[in-house]
Amino acid sequence: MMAEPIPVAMGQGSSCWGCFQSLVDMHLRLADVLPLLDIKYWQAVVDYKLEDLENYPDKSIVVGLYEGMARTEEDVHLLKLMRQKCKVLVAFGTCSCYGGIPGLANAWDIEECYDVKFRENKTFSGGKVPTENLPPIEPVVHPNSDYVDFDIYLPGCPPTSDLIVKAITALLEGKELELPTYTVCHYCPREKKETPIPEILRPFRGNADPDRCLLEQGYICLGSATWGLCEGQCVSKGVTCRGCFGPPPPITQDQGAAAMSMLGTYAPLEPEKLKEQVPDPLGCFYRFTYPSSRLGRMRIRREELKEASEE
Amino acid sequence: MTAQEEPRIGVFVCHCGHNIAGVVDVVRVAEYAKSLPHVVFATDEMFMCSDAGQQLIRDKIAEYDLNRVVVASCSPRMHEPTFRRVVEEAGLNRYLFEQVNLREHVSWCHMREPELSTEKAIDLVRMAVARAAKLEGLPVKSVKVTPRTLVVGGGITGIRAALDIADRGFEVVLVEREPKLGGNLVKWNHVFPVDKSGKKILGPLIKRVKSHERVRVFTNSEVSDFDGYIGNFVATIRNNKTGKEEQVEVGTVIIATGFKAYEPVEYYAYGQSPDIMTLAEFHQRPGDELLKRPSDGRPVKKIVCIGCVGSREPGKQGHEHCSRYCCTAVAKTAADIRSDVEEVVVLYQDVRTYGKGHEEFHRLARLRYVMYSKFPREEKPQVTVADGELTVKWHDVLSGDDFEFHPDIIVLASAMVPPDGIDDVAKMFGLTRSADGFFNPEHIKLAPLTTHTAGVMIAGTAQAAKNATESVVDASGAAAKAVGLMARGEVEIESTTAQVIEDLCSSCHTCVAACPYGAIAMDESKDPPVAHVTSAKCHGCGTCAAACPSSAILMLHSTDEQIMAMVEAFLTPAPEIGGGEA
Repeated sequence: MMAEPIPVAMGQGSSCWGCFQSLVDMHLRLADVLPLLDIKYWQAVVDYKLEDLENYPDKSIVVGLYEGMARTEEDVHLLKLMRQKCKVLVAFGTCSCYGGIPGLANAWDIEECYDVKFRENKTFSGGKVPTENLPPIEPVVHPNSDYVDFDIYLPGCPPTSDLIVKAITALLEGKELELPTYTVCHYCPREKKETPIPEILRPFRGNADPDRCLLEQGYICLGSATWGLCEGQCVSKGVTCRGCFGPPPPITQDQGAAAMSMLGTYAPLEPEKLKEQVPDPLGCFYRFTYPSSRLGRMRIRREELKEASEE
Repeated sequence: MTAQEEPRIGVFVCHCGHNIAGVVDVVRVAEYAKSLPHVVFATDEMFMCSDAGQQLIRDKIAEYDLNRVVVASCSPRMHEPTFRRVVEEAGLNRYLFEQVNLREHVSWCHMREPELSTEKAIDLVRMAVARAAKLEGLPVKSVKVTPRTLVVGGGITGIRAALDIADRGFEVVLVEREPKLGGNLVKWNHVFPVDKSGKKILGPLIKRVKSHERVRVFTNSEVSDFDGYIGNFVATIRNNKTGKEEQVEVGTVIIATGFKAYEPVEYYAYGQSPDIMTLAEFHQRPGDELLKRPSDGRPVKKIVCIGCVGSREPGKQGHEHCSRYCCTAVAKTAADIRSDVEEVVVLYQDVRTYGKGHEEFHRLARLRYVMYSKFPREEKPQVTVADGELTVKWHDVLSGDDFEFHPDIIVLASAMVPPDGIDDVAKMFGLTRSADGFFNPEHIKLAPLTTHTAGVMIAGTAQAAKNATESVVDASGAAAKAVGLMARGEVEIESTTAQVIEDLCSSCHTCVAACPYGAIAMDESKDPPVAHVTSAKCHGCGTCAAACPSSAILMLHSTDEQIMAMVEAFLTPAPEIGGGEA
C-alpha cells in the first residue's frame, strides 16, 4: 500500500552539507523512504527557490530539517522561515543543535575572523571583506535555538544514517521519536579499572590497549559526556570520542564543562602540566558545542555588549 | 512533599551582638530581604541563637505560615543544628532551613570595609533566598550502632580510651602493631609531670586492659581493611606474625596511632658518633647505663641538650610545628640528672614550658644550676666530632658571647612527627592531614576528636604533637564520644546524599573514581549496570554529581537547580530597595 507522500523541506544554513550527505548515505533504504516524501524545498537537490518556500502557506510542510548554523543574515531568515512553514522542525545535525565546529569562531571577534578569512593569512595578504552579492555576516554565532524553537534535536557530526532512518520513519508515521539517553560509554566495549591518568597522551602517541578504556590510558575521550546516538562507533574502532553528538539529554547541559570536570577525576595532574598536555582546551572540550555552552553564552553576551557600546 | 507549594520565606538577620552588626548594616540587609521574591517576612535580631531568637523563628513560622526559613548569622558549622531543630519544632522539615554566614564570611574577614561588607551580605542573602525557594524537604534517616569500638594503637592514648569504653560496658577491640602494648611512653625512663618511669605508669594499665573481659587485644597486628559506615563498620585485622586475618564488626573507631620521635638528618652531627643521641634514645637506655658514654662506657660528666631539633622551622614541610613536649622533657631530664654529673648545658631557641606543673621543672632545673643558653634562630650551634671527642660551638644571645664546650654526650630534643604508615591509615579511614602531617579533627574548636568520617575519632598524638597528659585527656574525650554514639544505639545520618538517576547513567565509572569515600559502586545486577550510591557511606560532598558528565547524579540538598538559582541570583543586579516587586 502506498501512502500519500508527505510534504517535507530541507533547509541549509552555513554548514558543510555533511548531514544531508549522511541522509543520502542511506543507500538502498532511500528507495523505501523517497517515495514517502514530497520534497517542497531543498536548495541543493530540487529546483525550488527561496521565494517558493516563502510563498507556501504557513505550517503547510509537515517536517522540516534545518542543517547548519546561522552565520549570515540569510541563514537567520531561512531558519525563521522554516519554522514558520513547518509543523515539525528538526535541528538536523550538531551545528544546528549546538553551533558546531563553525561556532568555534565565536572565540574570536568578527574582525579577527575577517582578517584570517579575507584580509591576511598564510597564503594571502591585502584582501578585502567581500560585500557584493553576499548576505551580511552575523557578528556572532547564536545557537539556532535562540532564533526559533525546535521540536526535535537530532545531533551528530553527522547524524548516522541509521539514526536518520529511524527518525524520519517515526516522523512520517506520526509516531513519537524515542531516543535512548545513554552516553557513548554505554556502547563502549572497553574495560574500566578506575585508575588515574599519569599523563595525557595525544592521539598519535603510544599504542593503545584495544581492550581498555581509552581515557584511562591517557587519551582524552569525551564518550562519557557525549550523547551516544552514534552507538559508540568510534570508540569500538579504537578512536577516542571527540564529542560530536553533544551532551546527553537534557541537552541543555554544558558538555565541555562536564567533560573537564570528568577529566579532573581521572587526571589529578598539576595545572601547569595539564595546560602543557592539553594545548587546545577549547577545541578539545567545546569543539561542537561552544556557542550553546555557558562559556560560549558569556562570550556571545560580551561581543553583543561590545557592539552595543560601539553603536 | 513541599515542591509544589508556593514558597513563603522568612529571613532572620542576626546582629551576633557586635560581631556582625558592628560591620554589616544588618537593618539594611533585613529591609532589602523584604524586597526579594517569596519573602513574606524579614527582620533583624540581636542573637538569633538565643532562646528569644529561637522563639522568634517559631512564632513567625506560625504567624506568617512560613515554609522556608533563612537565618543570616554565623557559620552553619556553628548553628545549623540549632536552627534545624528550631524549624523542626515548628513543624518544618529540617532541610527547608537555609543559613547564610555573615560572620566568618563577611564581618570578621572584611572588618574595615563596612559598606562593601553590607553589599556582600545583601548578595549572599539574595542567593540564599533564591536557593531556599528551591529547597525540598528530605526524610530524616537513622541507622543502628554496633556496640563495639575499634581502637587503633596501643599506646597510652589507646589503652586509656579502651579502658574508659570497656568500663562503661561496651566492647573494645584494641589493635597494636608492635609485639607489646605501651607505645612510646612505656620505653621512657622519666615521664613528666609525675616522677615515674613509663613502665611504672603504664604497667598497671596494660595489665588491666589485657585482662579486661570486654577488651580483645591484638598485638603484632594491623587493620588491613576497613569498610562500612557509622555504626556499622567492618574491620579486617591482620596478624603480621602469623598472617592470619580476622574480621570484626564495630560501631565506632578511635584512631590513636601516635607519633614517632624524629630521627634527625643533617642536624648537629647526628649519626657521626654514638654519643650524640635523641632525647627518646637517651630515655630508652637501660637505667644503669644511662650515664655511661655509649662509645666507651666511661661515666658521663658533661652533657649538652639541644632544643627544637626538627621543630619550629618555618618553610620546612612537616617541621614547622612546635613539638610541645620537648622543653619540659628536657627541663625535667636535666633537673633529674644534674646531681649525678658535673655540668648540664641546655641550648635552646625559646623555652616553652607552658603546661600545668611544667614551669616548675624549668625552675627546678635552673635552681639546680643547669645552664641555659639561648642561641639565635638563624645561627644554630655547631657540633663537630674529632677523634671521638665532641665539640659544641654556639653564640649566646643574652651575653653576646661565643662559647665552646666539650661534652661527653649530646642529647637532641627531636620533634614529634607522624609515624610510618600514616598515609595508609589516612586512606583507610578517610582522614585528612594538616601540614604537620598529623590527622585533622572535624573542626579544631567546634568538633574536636571527631573526624570527617562519621563514627571515627582521633585522639592523642595522632592529631598533633602533644604530651602524655594531654593525650589521655583526648583519649577519655574520644571514648566519651564513642560511648555516646553506642549508648544511643541509633544515629541519625544526613539525608543530603547523592542519588543516581538510573535512566541517565551510562556506566562510565567517573563517579566511582571520583568518590573520596568509596561510596559508589557499579550495580552489576542491573542490566545495563548502573552506578549505585550506598547512602550511609555518602558524605554528601557532591564530587560525584559535579564529575558526572551526563548529569545522572542528583546531589540532594545541593541540586544543580538549587546551585544555579544561587548563581543566577548573584549575577542578577540587585533591585532598588523600595522599588516595588522584584
